This record gives sequence, structure tokens and C-alpha cells, in this order.
Amino acid sequence: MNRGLALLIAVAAILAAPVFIVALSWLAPQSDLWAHFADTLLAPMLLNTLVLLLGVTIGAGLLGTALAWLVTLCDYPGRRWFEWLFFLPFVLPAYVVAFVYLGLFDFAGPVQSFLHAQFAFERIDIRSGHLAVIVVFTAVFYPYVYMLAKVGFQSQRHSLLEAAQTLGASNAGIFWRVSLPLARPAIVAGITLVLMETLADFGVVSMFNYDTFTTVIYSAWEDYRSVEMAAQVASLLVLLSVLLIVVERYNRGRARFYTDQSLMTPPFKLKGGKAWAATGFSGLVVALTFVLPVGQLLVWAWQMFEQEWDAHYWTLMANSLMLGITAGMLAVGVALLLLTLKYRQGRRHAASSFWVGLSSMGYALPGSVMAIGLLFVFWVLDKTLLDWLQNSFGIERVLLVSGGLGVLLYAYLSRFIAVAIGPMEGAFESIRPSYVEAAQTMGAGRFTVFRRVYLPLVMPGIAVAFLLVSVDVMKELPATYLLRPYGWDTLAIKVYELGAEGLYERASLPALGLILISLVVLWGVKRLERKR
Amino acid sequence: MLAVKDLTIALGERQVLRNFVMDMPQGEIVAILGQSGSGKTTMLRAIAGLQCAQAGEVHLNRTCVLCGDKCLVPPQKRGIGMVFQDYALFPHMTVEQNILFGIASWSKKERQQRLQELMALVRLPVEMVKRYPHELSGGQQQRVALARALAPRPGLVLLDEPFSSLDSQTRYPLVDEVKRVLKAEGVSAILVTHDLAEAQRLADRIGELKEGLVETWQTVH
Repeated sequence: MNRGLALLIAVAAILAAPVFIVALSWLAPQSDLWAHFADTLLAPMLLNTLVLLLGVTIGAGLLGTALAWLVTLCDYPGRRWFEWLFFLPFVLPAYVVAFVYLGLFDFAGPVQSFLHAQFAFERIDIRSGHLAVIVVFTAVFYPYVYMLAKVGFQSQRHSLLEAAQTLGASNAGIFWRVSLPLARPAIVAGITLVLMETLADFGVVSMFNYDTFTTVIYSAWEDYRSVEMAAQVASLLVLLSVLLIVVERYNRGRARFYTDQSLMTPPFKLKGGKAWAATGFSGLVVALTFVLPVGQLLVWAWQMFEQEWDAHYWTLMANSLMLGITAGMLAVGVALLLLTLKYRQGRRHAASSFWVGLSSMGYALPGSVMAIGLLFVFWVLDKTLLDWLQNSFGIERVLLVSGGLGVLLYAYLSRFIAVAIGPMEGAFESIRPSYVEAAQTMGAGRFTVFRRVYLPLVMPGIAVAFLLVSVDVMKELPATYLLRPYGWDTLAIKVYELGAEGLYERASLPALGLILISLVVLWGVKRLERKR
Repeated sequence: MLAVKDLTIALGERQVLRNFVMDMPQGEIVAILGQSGSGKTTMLRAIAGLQCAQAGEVHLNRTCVLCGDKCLVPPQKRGIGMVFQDYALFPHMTVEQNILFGIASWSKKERQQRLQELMALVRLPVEMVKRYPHELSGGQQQRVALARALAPRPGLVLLDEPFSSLDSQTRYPLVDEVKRVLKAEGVSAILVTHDLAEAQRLADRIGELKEGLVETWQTVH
């Protein structure tokens, strides 16, 4: 084995370590706890998780696919605006949307109060049942399906649709027999992302008192003080995520879905009632998923500003930004290292592809689980290290590792490296070997090739990766919550703490701060993508 | 069977076809020669219904399918087969599924019979029906594309530079093959190409498209 591959394996192993730490928990069986768990929590947890996943698959899958199809294949008033307005819910952390919807539509909220006063409407508790949680996840996560399905529809050659037309297929026939099957892998990949995000969520389900894997994991740790138990439940969750991915890969079989040319102009021009229906539907989606939550936050922030705002907020913002930027740079650096090592082995080197894939596994691990696993390991490490230092050198005991930001950054890196690898790998793929060869025939040395060929081609990918990781880190809640140094807060933590106590109006201020930063970043990504 | 009168098409600012005229009896194969950008593909697309015009008429079997600036009959209803320059084979479907795409409403027995017929006609081995397009060579893909276009028994087949991506070794034998297949099916065809030798081998009649119209037609013997 060469040195490059060895280094690649080492880095990948470090990144995937939290997943294996979690799996190792089975070495310490918790039979008593499991027996108790099987009697009480297991069945409702599994049922809830299953219903939730099914509901979100249908909700986000249908909505994301329908919107992507509309903006790529149909022309209607406002299409160009909606094309990127549909991305906006990306900047809303799920737990923010959850508390805004709760504030608006819950038992004592303005909507039900109004209906009750005007029409003697019987008040209902939207926290009970499955529907409200499914609606929140659909509203927040449909952009994943939308984004990938859009690429799926756009990459379909125009001539395929025209061939179907000349063979007598109706517009509906073209959609069902050609467009949709061709976009299927993209749609399924989008849904897989949504399901992983849903499985990993802690904020929404805990605000809705909805028991799923993450709340049970949290309860195993918090109520039963069993790290092992928490990790064991978590490893089941990882298994579920891996299963999702395997099913999708297997499903593809030998068929291919990629074509090279892209669809520049939408082929179907909608007219009259159909056009306005499309515009109306698109507008309604943007209103409900973005305008309504942000509008409500603005109203609350306006009311609370005087009372809530103080210099402390500058610290929160600085902390959030600092974490986001540091983690973003780290992730980009490590991803660059991994990909350079991978492509130096050749474009289709199976072993290095496997190790890069393995390094991304942390994405399937919810932040809370990763945090618990890491806390445990670093606590053991600290203890061993300190015992040794004290015994050998008589050095005073202080927490070396587990108290600082290092562990938190490691958790982010392990969890979000996949987010960085995605866009950067795309950029690496676009570099044809002939580019490099052409540069070499013109007398360019290794450094010149790197500086004048590789870097400019990879740079947009690097920038997009950096921005995406930064936003994800700033929005991230459970790992930050559990691993941050004592008393060290960020905007996300503040939002969650206030939101969980029902202080929605006060939570609006940090939430808006977070959204504003994310919006700026999303705008940056869009600009860079246009350049690419 | 096909009559084109004074067809005029502008794409944006550029006048691509001006008062283009053409008449074709059933069973004839016509080739239209032209440099790239001469408007030959646009002309084919207008006949197929994939492109509307500013003025002129297109009649198919005495029905006006394009009159002035109105596309009266959509491509689905024109009964015209088309072979695309990039073949446009559906990458997610097998050879069989591609060929049967246009005749999904036929009975199973009829479909299978037509499939056997076409595989034999384009001389592809039967075991190839379960392959995907990317598992075929360029020449084989071309044959599948032709079989697919012929499957619904169209009266007219449009060939949009279907040989341009093949090397000269495969190209000319395949041109002869296609001629044999078209004649065997008794179908009319329009080939657009920039290769004179190709046109001479395939067509009964050749016209050169220059500045949006064909001035003289030349009969091939």
C-alpha cells in the first residue's frame, strides 16, 4: 500500500470513529434496561418514527418533486423568482419553524383563539397526533428534494422529451414515463437526505413532545444515565440510515439516468388558468414555508426588541460566526486533503472511493448521539491521561480535552464532512485528465498546474462547501448543546432554550439573527453557482 | 403525402427558413444537404411539430398540420417518426422498452410480434432486447433508434443527421442498411445531412438548403 492511500485511510478512520464508538457500545449489554425499554418506550418510538418517516417521504417528496418539475419544465408568471424562492426555507432552522408554528397554531395561539371567538371552534391540541410534526418537517426539509429533483429534471436532454412526443406520448405520459423515471434517483437521493435529517432532528420532536429515536436516546442518557443504552439505540438509527442508502443503490440496477446536455428553457408554456394556478400554488408554498414564519418572527422581534436586546447578543453572534467559520475552514481543508489523495490514486480507484465514502458516515449520526459518544471517549481519555500525569509527574488535574472547543469542532467535522465533500467532489470530477495533460504539453510544471488549472476549477466547489458547512454548523443544535464549554452560548442555543420554555417572542430575536446570517450565506452560494 | 408551402421561420432575429417549398409522394426518400446553421434541423422540427413557424403551411396527407403561425396538430398526433442526431434513446429503458414506447396501447401479442419484426429488420440479435442503451455500440444504438421510430408504422420518418457520430467504416454500410429498411417498410423519409456521399447513397432526391430555401432538386439514379 502506498503512503497516500495509508494517509487517506487514517484520515477517514478518524472521521468515521464516532460511528464505530457508537457501534462498540454493544460490548456492554444493558439487558435490564432493554427489558424495561421494550415494555414501555420501544413500540411507540418505532411506530412514531415509522409514521413520521412515511409522512415526510410523502409530504416532502411530493412537494419537492412537484415544485422542481414546475420550475424546470413549465413556464408560468413568476417562475424565475420562484426558482430560487423555493430554496429559502433552507435558512430556517427546523426548531425555529416548529416554535413559530406552535406559537401561531397551538391551543392558545392567535389562529385558534380567533376561530374560537368567531365561530365557536372547538380548540385542538396540535401537539397530539402525527400530522403537525409531519407538516413542520415537510415545510422545512422539502428544499432538499426540490434542489436535487431540479438538477434531475434539468439534466434531461431535450431530445428525450421530443422523442417521446414524436412517439405519441401525451404531456402526462411524458412526465410519468420519461421525466419522472429519469429524475427518480435524484428524487430518492433528496428524500434520503430529508429522512436522515428528520431522523437526526431533536429540536422539533422535543418541542412537539413526539417520541422518536432521538428523544429516546436523549432520555436513555438523561433519565437512565446509560451512555451505552443511548449509543445502542443510536446504532439502530444508523443502521436504518444505511439501509435507506443501500435500498436506493440496489434499486438503480443497471439502468442509467445521466445525460450530458441540460435543459435550458422549459418546454411547456402554461397559459390562462393553468398558468395562474401554478403561480398561485407556488406563491402559497413560499408564503406558508417562509413568509409566514419569518413575518411572525419579525413581529415578535419588533415587540420585544427594547426589552430583549443587549450587548450579550453581540457575543452570541460572534460565537456562532466563529464556530461556523472555523468549522467551515476545517471541513474544507480536510475534504481537500481527502479528495486530493483520492484522485491521485486515479479517477476510478475503488479502495479510495470506499474510504472517502466511509469518512462521510458521520452524517448518518444525529448530533446528540455523536456528542454522547465523544463525551464518553474523551472523558475516558482525559481520565487516563490525567491519572498518568498525576501519578508520574504529580501534575494538578484539569480537564484537558473534554472541556474545550476542540471536541465540538471534531464532532462538527465528523458530522458535516459529507456536506463539504459533495460539492467539492463535483468540482474535482469536472477536471478532465486532458486539461492537466494539455497544460503539461504547454510546459506547465506541477505547481503551475495546481495553481492555474486545479485551483480555479475547484475554487467554486470549495466556496460552496465552506458556506454550506458554516450554515449547518451555526444552525446545529444538539451537539453544540452538549459539547460546548460551560456557559458558552450561541444564537442556536439561545433560540432553543427560550423556545423550549415557550418564550417564543423572546426567541424570535436570536432566531432572526441566525436566519439573517444564513440568508447572506445562501445568497453567496447562489452567486458562486451561477459562476460555475 | 407531405406538402410544404412557403414555410418561413425566424429564430430570434435570424431568418432561418424563407418561403421553403417541398412536395413528397408516399415512399420517397429525400435528402436535404446543408452546412451547420443552414436551418435544416429547424425545417425537420417544424414538420415534426416541435417548432412553430411565422408563416407558411405544412400538409400531411392533405391535412393542414401547420398553418401560418399556428401549430394545429401537436407532434403526438402527427404520426411522424424521428431519429435524433444523438439518438435520444431513453437511458433508463432497455432496448425492448425503447422500441415498444410508442406502441404501448397495442395488445401484448401485437407488440411482441412487431418487436421481433423490427429486430430482424434492423438486424439486431434478439438477445439484445434486454440491454440498456449505454451497453450498445454507436451503430447498434442507431439501429435501435430507427426501429423505435418505425415501430408505430409512421407514414414519414425524419432523420436528423443520424450518421454523423459514426466513423466512416460503420457509416456507409449502415446508410445502405437504413435505405433497405425504409424501402422494406414502404415509408417516406427526409434525411438532413452535410455529407453528400451519404445523401447520394440513401436518397431518391437531393436538395441543397441555402439561405433558407432549396433552389434546385437533383434526382439520384
